[in-house]
Amino acid sequence: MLKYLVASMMLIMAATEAGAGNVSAWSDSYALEANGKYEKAAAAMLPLMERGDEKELATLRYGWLNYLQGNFNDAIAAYRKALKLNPRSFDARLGIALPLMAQLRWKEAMNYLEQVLGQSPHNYLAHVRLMACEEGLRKWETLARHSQTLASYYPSEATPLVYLARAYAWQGKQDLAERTYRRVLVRLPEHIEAKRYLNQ
Amino acid sequence: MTSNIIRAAGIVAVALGVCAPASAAEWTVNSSLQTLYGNYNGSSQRQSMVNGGILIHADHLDTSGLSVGVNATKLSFRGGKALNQQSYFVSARHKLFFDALPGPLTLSLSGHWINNNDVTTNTDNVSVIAPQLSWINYAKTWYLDLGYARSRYNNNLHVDQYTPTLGLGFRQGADWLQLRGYLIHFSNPLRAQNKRQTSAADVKYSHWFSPGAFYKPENMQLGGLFGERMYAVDNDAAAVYNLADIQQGSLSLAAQWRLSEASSLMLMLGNERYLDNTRAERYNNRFAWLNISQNW
Repeated sequence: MLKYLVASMMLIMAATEAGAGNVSAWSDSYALEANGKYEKAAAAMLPLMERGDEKELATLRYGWLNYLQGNFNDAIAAYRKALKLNPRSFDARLGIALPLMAQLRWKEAMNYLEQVLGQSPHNYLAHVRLMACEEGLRKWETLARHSQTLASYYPSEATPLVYLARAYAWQGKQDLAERTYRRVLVRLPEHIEAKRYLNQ
Repeated sequence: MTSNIIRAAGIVAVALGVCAPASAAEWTVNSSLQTLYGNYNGSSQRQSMVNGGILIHADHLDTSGLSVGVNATKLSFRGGKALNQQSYFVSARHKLFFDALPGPLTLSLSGHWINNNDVTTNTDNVSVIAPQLSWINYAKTWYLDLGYARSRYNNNLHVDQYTPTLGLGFRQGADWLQLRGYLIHFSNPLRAQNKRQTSAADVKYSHWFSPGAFYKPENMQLGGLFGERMYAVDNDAAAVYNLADIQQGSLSLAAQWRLSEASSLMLMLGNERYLDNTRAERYNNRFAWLNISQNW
């Protein structure tokens, strides 16, 4: 009986220590990221990607930290792995778009973002990243329509208006671009791009 | 002939991994119709050239692509005779992304097949295989490529062409300068107007304008060729100069107008200078080239 009690106590202590170790690995990784030590922050995630309840989160975080280091291929591979773990994940789709966009792979990024919008049509982050892809592909008419619609759904946000102003400017519609940049300044009075355009 | 081309296209595509299964939404297609008229000046033999063709590019997302093209050419001689030619073009490309490089590497492999009714058969039944390795940085300020083309001609001639290229973008992408060397070696000088090799530099300068009135071009391009080249292969234009004499320079000016978000029109006017070494005759080809491009 005493043997059982001692064994059980030891097992509980070991499990608690392991749990504390995991929590410590997460907090270490967050602290390292905050200090700009992305490589070490990513390395702290590696053991957590293989086991435990949070291996999906660890994989997403590994992708993000590799993106921050400029290791775009590793980031893409990690986000793809996260998508295999959870095929419904919006986070993995929104995440993988970032390294793809960094490699100017606009169409591939759009493919993932449109999958998010297929399930969640007014997802703001997906729309913002999709607008960046449309800008990368220089689809000014599409970008103007898209950003105008998004601005009507999120009237307090400045970002859709910035994309709308850029699309007007690239189409040579200077009056509309100026009017739209003025709307940006109402929302963000120190917006550098808007001030620069209106002062030129 | 057609089955050979289809088979070759399949081999090229499989070799570059283009044929991976994918949904239709992952493909984008661009088609361009082009026509050229050239008038020869100073030639005792040649009178004019008319050319028309279609080029289709299909790209799978941002990584792979396949192009096919068909062209028909009529070269009219003084005295009423004419040479009719059909040419076929297939090209596949695949991009590789390495984190160690600040931009993608592109591998491409192109093939050309040409048939005509040349009575000497010298320019008939031409085949070309042309691999190329290129790199451009993400900021699109540097471009490098190295191309090779091996052309096979009837009657004991093959041609090796090397085309190192440097491209520079500046003023935030508003200007682009491209320099391409053409180093061409001939296996049989008797079939190359007594030349064993030729070398030339092709220079192109492009400028993108800020948007304006509908008649204002989106882009203008000035091009020039310096030096000599013969039996050249131009993979940018999907063209093989199998009918030409020794080209001794050229000058061209092109303007491109954006018709809509998905379509554009390009007009190029130019002059090419040639030497026919066997007749010791210099002549010019003044040409106009029109291209209408549509994304689907």
